[in-house]
Amino acid sequence: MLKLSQIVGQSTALKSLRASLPPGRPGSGYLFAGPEGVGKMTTAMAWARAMFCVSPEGQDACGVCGPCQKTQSGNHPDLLILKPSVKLKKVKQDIDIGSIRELIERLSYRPYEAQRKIAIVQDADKMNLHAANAFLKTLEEPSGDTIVILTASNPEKLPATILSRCRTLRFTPAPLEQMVEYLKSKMGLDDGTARTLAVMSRGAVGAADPERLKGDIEIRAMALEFLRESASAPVAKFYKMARTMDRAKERETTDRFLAMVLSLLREMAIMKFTGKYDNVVNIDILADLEKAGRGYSGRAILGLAAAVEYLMSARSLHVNPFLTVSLLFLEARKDS
Amino acid sequence: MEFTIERGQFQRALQRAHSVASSKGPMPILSNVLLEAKDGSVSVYATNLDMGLKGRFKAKVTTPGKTTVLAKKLHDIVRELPEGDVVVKLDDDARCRIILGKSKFNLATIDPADFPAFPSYDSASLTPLDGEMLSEMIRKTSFAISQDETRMTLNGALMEVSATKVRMVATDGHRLAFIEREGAFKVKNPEKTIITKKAIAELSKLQAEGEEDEVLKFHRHDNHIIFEKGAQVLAIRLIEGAYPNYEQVIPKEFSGEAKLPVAEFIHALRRVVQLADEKSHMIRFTFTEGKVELLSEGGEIGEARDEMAIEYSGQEFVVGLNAYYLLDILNIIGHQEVVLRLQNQLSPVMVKSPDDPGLICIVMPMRL
Repeated sequence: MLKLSQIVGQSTALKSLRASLPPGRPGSGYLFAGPEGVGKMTTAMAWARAMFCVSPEGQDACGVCGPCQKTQSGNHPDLLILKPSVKLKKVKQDIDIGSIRELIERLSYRPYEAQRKIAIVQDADKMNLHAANAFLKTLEEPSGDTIVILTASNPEKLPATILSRCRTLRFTPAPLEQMVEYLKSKMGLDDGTARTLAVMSRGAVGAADPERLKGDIEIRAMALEFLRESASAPVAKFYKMARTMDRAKERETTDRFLAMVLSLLREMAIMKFTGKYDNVVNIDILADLEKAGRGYSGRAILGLAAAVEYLMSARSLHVNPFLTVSLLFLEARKDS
Repeated sequence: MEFTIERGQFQRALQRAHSVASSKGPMPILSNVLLEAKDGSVSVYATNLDMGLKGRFKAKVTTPGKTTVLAKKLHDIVRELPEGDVVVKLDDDARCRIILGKSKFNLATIDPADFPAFPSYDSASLTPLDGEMLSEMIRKTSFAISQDETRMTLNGALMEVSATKVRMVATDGHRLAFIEREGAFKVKNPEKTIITKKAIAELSKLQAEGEEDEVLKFHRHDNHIIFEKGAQVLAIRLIEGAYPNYEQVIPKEFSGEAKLPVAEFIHALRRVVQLADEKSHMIRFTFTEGKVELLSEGGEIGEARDEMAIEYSGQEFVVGLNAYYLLDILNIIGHQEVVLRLQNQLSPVMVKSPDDPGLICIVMPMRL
């Protein structure tokens, strides 16, 4: 588990969090808002660890004392973590009123061994409305010295009543150079790989996984190939591609493929409509992207993007990968 | 760690512990029991964080040490072992071996450093409390504990201890039970402690078990209250927040007093409540010189009317009360007669035993 000093980026949030460590006074409700994978949960855990540490070093946890060990192994009695649960026969993950009530009950006890209790609700934007309403009172005036931290990648989905009761700290993608530095020192990557990984993970440390990167690069190549050749390549080629996706273990690949096609379409649209490259993420394959973009009209790009979005939602209802990819191919070919 | 313990002893030790250990929840280690062998005994400790139970048992300790294993599995294994001496041993591969004759088991362990520490307390600060008396106080108040789990402070009984007195109070907002007994306690300032319903059940078990000459002792910390009896120690975690000011609810002045025979009253209530409203269980009582009339109107089902001769003198007094609340109180009153003190239609009715000034029950009236 990381310490506060090891968090990449997030200087604004960290500054505020450090200031409220003892002898400072922390607030009672926090919302850590920001894109997935940028370190909201990691920061929450590191902060909790610094709060509980009995021999803090500067404004950070020591990492070796009893409480630090317990937060690391998930056995600190005063640290409560609530995550969305996947229910049987339910595709959607959510945090229901039952688990919120359980949390409230746990919070109504005095701390077990620390000075205070800390509750972290991960992906709080997945609370349903009943759960959120049940949580309002606790969030407004938690009993004793309790700190509640909500993390959310879609904070706009939280009711205003929850938002108004929390101090919001914004988490942003880590700056490119910091990410590259981190990946090089932490994962021992060479500069080129680190740079590609930093680009592809969009400043989200949690998404930067070198193992996954290999797959991502392959998928990106596949997506690019698809976009470049969708109008001209022989049907057999895409039939084969669709068949590969259909194998059970490739099902996740289908979703990643669709997401990648969508993000490349987005960048093709940016270039086509603005003529600028400022917001292009995949700068390392810029030339290829531009070339692929020339084969499409602006309208065709938007139309295809809409089709991909439709297919992505179909996938969430478990539409067969072979059919999905075949349909995508037909969509791309419909005008030829 | 290695120790040898008599099977029956070990099973008794584990039986209570595994009932406290929590089988679900986010901390897997709480499903485990902590075994610690040292100085010729083994301590068995389980906790679900709300309460923890630790017992010390005689054993032959070969190598001191500690470990944690799944409480339920260990208990279930030991329960089915034949009589004899069980060898429990922690090996270098972090497996805990249980051996008796040809039966051999090895259980996975979790690092004991991760186990929540038993709240530390100083034996010298413990103060004795008459266990029989505590059981009586629990029995005579716990019926009134609220069932509403969203209000944690009412979800337990209040134990209030001063240097010379101990009180226990329970209420759910519709009725209240209060009991006060005397004693001498090592307490500087009066201490108010809310003990949850689940913890009360565990405390009653602790008091009921053990040898007769073992004295129940307690001490309150910042976050826990400790009860010790013989070799067993129960740590109950305290609840945040204050108990409602119950003294405000107990009426001081009355306009009338009725004395009723308990057995007869119970039967009358049970009869008349049959036709009372299914939700409110309300019976309308009309007290007049020397008698009380009970009336319930069950709407379409029917109507019940009954009358009892009682000791009452004064003006006619009409009040609506939940019959089951009265029955709960009559069950614990411990006397052939019960006294109802009345003030007015909208103020609480006090129910008392004629020979126990320390016991006060209150029932809120209902609108007629």
